Amino acid sequence: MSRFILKRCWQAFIAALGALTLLFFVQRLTGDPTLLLVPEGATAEDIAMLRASLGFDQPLLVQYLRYLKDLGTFNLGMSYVQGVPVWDILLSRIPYTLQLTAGAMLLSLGLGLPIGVLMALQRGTLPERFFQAVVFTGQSMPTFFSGILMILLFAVHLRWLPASGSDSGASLVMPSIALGLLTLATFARVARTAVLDELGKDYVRTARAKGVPLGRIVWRHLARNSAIPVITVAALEISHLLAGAVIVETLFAWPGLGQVAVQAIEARDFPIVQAVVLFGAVASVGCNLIADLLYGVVDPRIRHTGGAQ
Amino acid sequence: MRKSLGIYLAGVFSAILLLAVPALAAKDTVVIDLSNETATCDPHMQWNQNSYGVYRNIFDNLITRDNKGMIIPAVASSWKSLNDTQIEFVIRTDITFHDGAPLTPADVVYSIERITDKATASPQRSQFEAVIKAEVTGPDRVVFTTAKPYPPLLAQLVKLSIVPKAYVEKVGKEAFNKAPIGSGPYKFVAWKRGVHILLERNEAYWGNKGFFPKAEFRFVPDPGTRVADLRTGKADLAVDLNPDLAAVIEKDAVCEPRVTLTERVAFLRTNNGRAPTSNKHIRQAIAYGIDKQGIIDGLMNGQDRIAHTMLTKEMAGYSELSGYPYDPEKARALVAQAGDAAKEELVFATAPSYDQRIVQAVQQMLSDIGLRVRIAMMDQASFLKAVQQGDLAARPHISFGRWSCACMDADGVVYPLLHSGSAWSQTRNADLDGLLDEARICLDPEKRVELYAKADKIILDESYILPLYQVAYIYGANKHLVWTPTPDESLFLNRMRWK
Repeated sequence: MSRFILKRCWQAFIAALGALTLLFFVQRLTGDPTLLLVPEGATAEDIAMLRASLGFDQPLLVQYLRYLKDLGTFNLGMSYVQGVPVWDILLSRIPYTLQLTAGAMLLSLGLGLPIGVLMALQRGTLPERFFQAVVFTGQSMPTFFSGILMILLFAVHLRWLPASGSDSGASLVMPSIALGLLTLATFARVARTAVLDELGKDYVRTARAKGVPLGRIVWRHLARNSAIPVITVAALEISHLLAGAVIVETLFAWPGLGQVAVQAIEARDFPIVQAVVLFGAVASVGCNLIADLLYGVVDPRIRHTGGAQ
Repeated sequence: MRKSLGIYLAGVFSAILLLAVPALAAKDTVVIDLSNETATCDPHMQWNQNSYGVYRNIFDNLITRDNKGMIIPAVASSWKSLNDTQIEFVIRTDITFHDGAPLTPADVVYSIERITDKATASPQRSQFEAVIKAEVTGPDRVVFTTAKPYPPLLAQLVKLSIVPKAYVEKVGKEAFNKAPIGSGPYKFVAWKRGVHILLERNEAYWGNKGFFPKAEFRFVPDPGTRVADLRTGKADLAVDLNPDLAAVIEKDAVCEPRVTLTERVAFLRTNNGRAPTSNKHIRQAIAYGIDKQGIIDGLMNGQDRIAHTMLTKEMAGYSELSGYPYDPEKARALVAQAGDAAKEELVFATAPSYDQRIVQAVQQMLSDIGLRVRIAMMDQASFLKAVQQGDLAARPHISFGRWSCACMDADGVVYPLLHSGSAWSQTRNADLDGLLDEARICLDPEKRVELYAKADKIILDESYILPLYQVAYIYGANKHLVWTPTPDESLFLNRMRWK
């Protein structure tokens, strides 16, 4: 088990390093942020001076080695634009991203799974058609569109929720829904398929023939056996949520990592972009690792021994 | 049962309403939605609109501008020229920083030297490097020396924020950025990263005290969300709206658009060092072929003002000239005259921060007169690099731009954009260079206007650059907020009131 985890961590390390190296060079290939920092009309001499102070006058390889050395000591550098350590920015933003991701996950799991199960059990009936429409809408509406509609309805017309900000629990509601809608639809779809698969199996037929109530079958037997695909999708969806946060956080002025990523990319604040990518890599690798471990818990047939799965 | 429930609910709601009424009556925090997070509150370490709006309330500047754009005293109560290259400022002695320390002439000298010192690597250096020496000459006197006569000096010094020497030297750059201390009408309270900056009124302020005890600057990147904040009363003022959003709140009960013409001019830069835009006929054809008023009326809601030169009425050095009228027939004739040269595809560079509808309209108008134009969209940094680095022959033929020197002076506009010695210029004309060099050191205002008029005449005849319109800036404000936007895009809290 521990060898399995170690191996996975090593793989994750290599993957993250590869991603960061690629990012490092791609960002710098397209120029540096100096011109965005100076006033219009700044002299060539002043531009060169500022460029040198940010270290961009050094050969690319020197810059890269310096970056690796800093990374080795967990030094993420200073923001070019804000002049504060990147760690400060990262640490102040992570809690908001976690809150929003948790909110969206809670919503999509809490509603998506029951809807999926219901759709499987009520196959071919009116309720299934209704939920199918809901799922379809959730899946096909882009977040920037559903988000704007929600702001108009719930903030401007009904005045129930604030349009922007992060100062109360109410502020979290709309961003969570906007972000979670697509994931909700995905969970409903996956749960429906998984349950339908299991419903046709012998043990379910036997249980029903014995007169076990449907609710009990669902809870005691189906839930566990349908869990594997759901866990796989959940792990993948976390990366989707982190990516979707880019739009949702900008729209609702939610101060998470997605928002800071967009701003940093626009401003070419490389150290921040690199830190956000590093966080994203660690988060998605971590989630997949947890999912792998959960397989074993849910299904004892899956064993993590000696690297074999 | 149902009746008693109704009574209960009515009771609850009226209790809430009772709570809400006094909150409305005593407005103690003004809330402003900015379009992005403030970069830093250190007034010398950035060049950024969303920082300027905030830090200008924490710091006093050496001199400032009133709402009409006139230069008026601030930290310096008066000033006089000692000779062509020296100016003496009388520094007020009744100003204290927020930590109680008095503001002295030494702080003024330190502030400008901090920017011009190469070791500081201040992005603002180019604004102040004309000043080669600053010295304290008395208990309330400071003298600035420039290498050559420099007429825009006062206009540039409007941007010089005074920082406390002792405090900055004691705590260092990073700590000063986190907890800035100035002498301005508002004190820094807190900065929640990504969320807001809170300020409180400086009760000991020497000048106009603010009306609101507190101020909150929020960071709301989406303009539609800023409008929603205004309409729901969450924000009292929002920056940077577009004409469509302005139309949305035109008839709103709570808020309204407030528009000002800025000193910013939108223009097309034509590359005079690359064929075929090196051909005068092609450049003139472009000038005749663009319907500026059509763009303003059709796309900008009529709020911007047509521009014939790169200078606006509010700027020092401005003189009125008329430019090319919209005349597509004449444009087509000029294109025909250019012959084969006109068949080459023109690269039209633009970036996402510019209004793409205008870029596309320009492309359409130019194809209507027989030119082939390809839009090259790039991110802002690549765009800036493309238009101001490398050989002229490698730069795009046409590029969109919106220029402001934030100094309201012709020198800050025409020199960097058209003098051959500037990286931002795509023009090489020795006569023009001579005029611009002469105007740059001419201290006689009337002679200066004459020189710039001559320069503008050359620029117009050759159509070196095509000014489109003076840019209107649209704010959204709560109807109770008494505040007038200014051409220099300032957000002075002590010039705001609630009615």
